[in-house]
Amino acid sequence: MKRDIILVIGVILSVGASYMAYVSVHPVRGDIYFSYTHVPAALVCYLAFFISLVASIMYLKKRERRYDMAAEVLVIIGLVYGIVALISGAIWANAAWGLYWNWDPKQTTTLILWIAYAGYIAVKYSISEVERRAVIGAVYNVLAFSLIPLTFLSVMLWQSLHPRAQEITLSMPVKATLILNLAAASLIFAYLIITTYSLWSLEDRVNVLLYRYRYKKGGA
Amino acid sequence: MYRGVFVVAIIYWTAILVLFLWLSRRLAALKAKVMDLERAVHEAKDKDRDED
Repeated sequence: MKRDIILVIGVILSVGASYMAYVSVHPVRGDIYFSYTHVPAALVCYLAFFISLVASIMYLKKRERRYDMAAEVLVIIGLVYGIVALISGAIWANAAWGLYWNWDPKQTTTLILWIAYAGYIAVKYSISEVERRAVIGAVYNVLAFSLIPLTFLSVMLWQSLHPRAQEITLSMPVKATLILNLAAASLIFAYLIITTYSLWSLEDRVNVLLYRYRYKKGGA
Repeated sequence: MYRGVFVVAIIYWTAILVLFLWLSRRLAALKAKVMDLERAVHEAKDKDRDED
């Protein structure tokens, strides 16, 4: 029920944000329109990976299965938002710089980050033993997160066409629209996390019940 | 450029919609499966009790 409320508020906010973004607010630069989807997708992706890191550290500390499941769920959702950020970034790059992909440090490091997290899922699904898979996954997650500072610093460390956060100046209506889009994306992200976590917990319960049932039948 | 903006918005919402549909379908299927299994476990327990 709570998650339905989150979804309803998220959708209402999204409709309002879309109206503001594409109808009522007219920015000076036309390509600002891309920011309304690219920036929320990228920030939600980073947020998902950050919370996933916290969950993995908690798992390593407490060894409770729910933290491992939460970390996995967050990485999967982060990957979806990450691919949206990468594709929308490439389309924006084509409009602003004339090329979809020009191996800009920001693009390249974000792609490396995405591949690293896709590797986390591959590693986890390649190990059958539950405990071992969780521990190796958590350690891998901590290592993969170390790439996030690199993606942020890439625009400062190397020459990049991607603007630095402190260089961006937006008019008040554009800023308000962007914040509204961010709020809407965050709420939908929260809904997706709660739903996916419920799904994973249920799958876990099903596996336990199946094991118990088969064991009982086999033993009888 | 506006075509690009439109394409990006479509990609964004399609990704969320696909995730949403995938999750909803799997959740509904799993809930049904959990109920069946719980019923089976309870039936097995009742059977054991009757035998005792």
